[in-house]
Amino acid sequence: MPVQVSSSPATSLAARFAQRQRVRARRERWLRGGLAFAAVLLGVLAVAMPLFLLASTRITPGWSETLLPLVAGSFKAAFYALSVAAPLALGAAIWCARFAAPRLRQLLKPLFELLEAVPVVVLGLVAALLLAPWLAQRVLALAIFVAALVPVLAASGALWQHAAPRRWQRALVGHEVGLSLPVLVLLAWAALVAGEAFATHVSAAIIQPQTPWNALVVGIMLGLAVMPTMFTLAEDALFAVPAEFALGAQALGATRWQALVHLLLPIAAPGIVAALLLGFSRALGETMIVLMASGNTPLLDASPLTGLRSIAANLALEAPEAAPGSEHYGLLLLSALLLFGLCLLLNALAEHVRGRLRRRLAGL
Amino acid sequence: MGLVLRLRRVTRRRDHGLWLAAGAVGLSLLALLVIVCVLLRQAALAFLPAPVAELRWHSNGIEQVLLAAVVEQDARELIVRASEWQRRGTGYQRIRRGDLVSLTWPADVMTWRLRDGRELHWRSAATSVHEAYAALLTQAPAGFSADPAGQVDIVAVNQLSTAGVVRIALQRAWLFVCSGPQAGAGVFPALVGTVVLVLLMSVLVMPLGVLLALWLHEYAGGRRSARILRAAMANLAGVPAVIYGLFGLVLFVDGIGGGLDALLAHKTPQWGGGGLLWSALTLALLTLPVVVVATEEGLGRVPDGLRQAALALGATRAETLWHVVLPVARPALLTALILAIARAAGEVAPLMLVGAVKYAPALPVDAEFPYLHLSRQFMHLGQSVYDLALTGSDAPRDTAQAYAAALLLLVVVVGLNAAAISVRNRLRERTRELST
Amino acid sequence: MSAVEVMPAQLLAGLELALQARGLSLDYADRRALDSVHLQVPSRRVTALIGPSGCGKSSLLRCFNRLNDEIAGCRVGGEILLFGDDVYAGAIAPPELRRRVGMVFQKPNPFPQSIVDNVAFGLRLAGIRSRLELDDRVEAALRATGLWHEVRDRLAASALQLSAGQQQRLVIARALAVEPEVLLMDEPASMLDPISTLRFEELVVALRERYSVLLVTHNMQQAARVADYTAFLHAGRLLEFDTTDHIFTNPRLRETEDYITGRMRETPLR
Repeated sequence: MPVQVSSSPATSLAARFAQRQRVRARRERWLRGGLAFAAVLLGVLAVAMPLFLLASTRITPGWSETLLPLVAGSFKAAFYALSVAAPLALGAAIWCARFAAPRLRQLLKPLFELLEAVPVVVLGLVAALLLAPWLAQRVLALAIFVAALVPVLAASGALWQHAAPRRWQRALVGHEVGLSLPVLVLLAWAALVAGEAFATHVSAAIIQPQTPWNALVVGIMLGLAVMPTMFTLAEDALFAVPAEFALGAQALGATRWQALVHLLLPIAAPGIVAALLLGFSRALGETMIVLMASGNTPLLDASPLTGLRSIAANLALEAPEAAPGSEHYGLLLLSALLLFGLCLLLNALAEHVRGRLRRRLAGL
Repeated sequence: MGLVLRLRRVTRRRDHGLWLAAGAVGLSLLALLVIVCVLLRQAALAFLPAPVAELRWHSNGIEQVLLAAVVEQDARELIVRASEWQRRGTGYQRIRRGDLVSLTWPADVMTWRLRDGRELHWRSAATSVHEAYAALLTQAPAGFSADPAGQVDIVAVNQLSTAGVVRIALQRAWLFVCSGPQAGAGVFPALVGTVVLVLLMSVLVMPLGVLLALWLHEYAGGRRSARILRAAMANLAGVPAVIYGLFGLVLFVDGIGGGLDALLAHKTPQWGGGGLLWSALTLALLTLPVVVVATEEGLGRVPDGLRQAALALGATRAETLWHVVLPVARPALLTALILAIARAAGEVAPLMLVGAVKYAPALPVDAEFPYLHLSRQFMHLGQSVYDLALTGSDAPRDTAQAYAAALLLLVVVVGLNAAAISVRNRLRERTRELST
Repeated sequence: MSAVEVMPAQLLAGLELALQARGLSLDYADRRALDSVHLQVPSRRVTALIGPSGCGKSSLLRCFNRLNDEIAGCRVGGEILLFGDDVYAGAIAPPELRRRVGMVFQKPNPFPQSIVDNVAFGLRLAGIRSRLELDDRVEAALRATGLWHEVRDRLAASALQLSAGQQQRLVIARALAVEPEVLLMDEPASMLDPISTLRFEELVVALRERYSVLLVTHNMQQAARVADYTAFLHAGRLLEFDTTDHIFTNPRLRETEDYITGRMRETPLR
């Protein structure tokens, strides 16, 4: 086999490379410099953000009276949002990661990702114009629904396992959600009917909200908004635990649920805690839903039946009108800084906890 | 007693937690379904032609007659919308049930919808538009005049077939998407504003985000500075959007913009107010972590063998990146871009602070030099949803349109996200191909 | 261990040396991979590098074109000379070094581009824009590896569509196109089927006419078939260097003999 590489050595390649060497080296330096510049720029921005807010804040004598209801409002909204989102997200994550048929999981994951992408202003719109007036008349039905949810679901499941033919049961493994859907719809219908029936009962008057735009509505919608984020994080944590653990436990006679609770949940616990922290942080900072559906009244109480005004919503309402440099402006920036610090703290904490999960999983 | 014991034994042995977890999935899915259905239904209400009733009722002993569409009704009263002869939103009336004598749906009612969103109702058995218009002039109050060219549609509204209703609704929906608010209804300027804003933001964020990701992944590696920057990025991603808005307001609008105005000695603030550029910059900051994370993930999927092959051939780092790594990672860049756009398109809170307004007199792009007006205030789809819903002057119609705008926004954002997800999945398959 | 101990005196006398490693040591972040290695690679010969897995063969190979520089926390001690120039002293910039010292990897790694673009990659770096000259040089490189007749009708097709053997020869053509002086090959035939391996070995023997080849292989027969000289590396040290005939028929050391005859454990005990 003849080996003759170049048939046209006008100038040898080595000479050409030598000619271009300086240009190429310069390009390399430029890229390196450009990249480092971008990195420095971002670093500066990350530092500049809180510093900028800090530089413009001003503490005026009555700051605590103004800020306290706002802080309380933010926490109130986030608390109710989390009490809606946490059970939904964690339950869904547990089921998706450990019980769902692989096909169904592949379908559900993108569905939750799309739910995460729904613009919050759309959710805010539905909450403010439809859910709030509708729910104001049906708080009793909601209470009945929530109270009956757990027993009814558990009972229907137990009944199914006890009474349904083996063949049906086997077909439903991994698709239990199919059974829960009709149960939920029936329960919702029953709760509405019951709510109507007891509308004149004395308990209905106690839980009649003072305004349609209250923390309950905010909690439900905000909960739906932050739920997908928490779901994704918790699901990833649970799914990352090797399946052999659960199989081993089941081989010893534990049910699938027992294997989950006693083995998998403790391992994945940091991921779940991180999901809760990040969900809380997102709920604290979410603006549009609170702005549209909370009534924006600065109150200092924890009742779900009254309105609230959060830091974020207050910023969106007042910042465009505040004159730069005024006391009002300074106070707004102070509240923003407070919110920024809170969210940063929660994020850093969540990141720390997730790091622990990663180390734990790496050790397995 | 025996039954209770048996039930208890059954429930103790089985795993009911599993059913609760399945219930959580079911409840989430139901909520999603309900929200989508509600949005679809409410948005459809904005476009479906409402049948027009002839109402007769007593008011202070005098019998009144009115042609009107019924907007709302309950056990005590009706709210109806009659012809709007002067302005949009002026035809609403409240009628007590007790006063009502009769409510009929005459077949010969014509409804004329004008370009400015007004609706006129009158009775005419005419077959041509001209005759119908002549009949309208006889029934209109004195001083009324309207340009027949300004019509959107004239229909015999009570005689429409289902196909006709759908046709009219689609026609009106199309008009809603491509006309402006000065014509009574329409989100065209908001749509243009959103698109221009998002494009400008992409132009700003993509180079910076990709550069950062390249530095983090290809140069800095596990260095201390890279770790710090990654941590900063993770924290930036968790900062509430409204804080970005405030940051944009303080830094861009009041700081840089105000400074520019002072420097150029503008009498009226030109850069010192909210505007397109400041909004785009704010959104670029907001989406930077998204771009960096997605790009870095894509770079991580480029097989190391390719990098080494290029280096071993004598390519510099820069050449390796440019000729080998970036082309392979191109779908990842696309994913990053789409994710950033999807995030930015749905964000409203920061824009309320830095430039989106309820009504902007001019589009941010036009045929006049310099074509793209960076300092102009603009309208935004998300902002329109908020304004139409809470501050509309013609509440029943505006809220319906708010739903329509929300549906449009939802379709755009969810469509973009679905695109990103599918591109990402295809990318994963391709890199799997590459690495086998 | 000096060069004198590992190889017979006067073995390479009169031969030009393409590559020399003098007292080369290599440390990764957590362990030492090479320990004072003395190796001389004669010009226009095929030198085989054998040794058990994990003995540092690939690491040694990557020292010669400074590819180890790309790994964080990797330190090189000692000297490497390319035709007498010290590689690590800054006499040659790494890109230029890597052009002169081509490398073929264990796994064929063509770029996800067309066949032509793959071969022309290095030429474009040299600033060659003329279509005519590019085509000319691409054809020459493909002919040199015997690939030309197989791919001449589908030069614009993706390189990923070729078989593994063809891909490996394409990668060699890509390396040859930039006119290197030395070729480093890191177990290049380990993923090929027997027929492709045969063709590949013929190619290596042909390349010997113009290039100095340093070949890492796990396959004793392959080393015996193609190499003029063979070096035996064990646990980061070069233990023996001699003509291939000598090493395979009459090794000086127990370890070499054990390894060649398959009596050595694959993972060396430390």
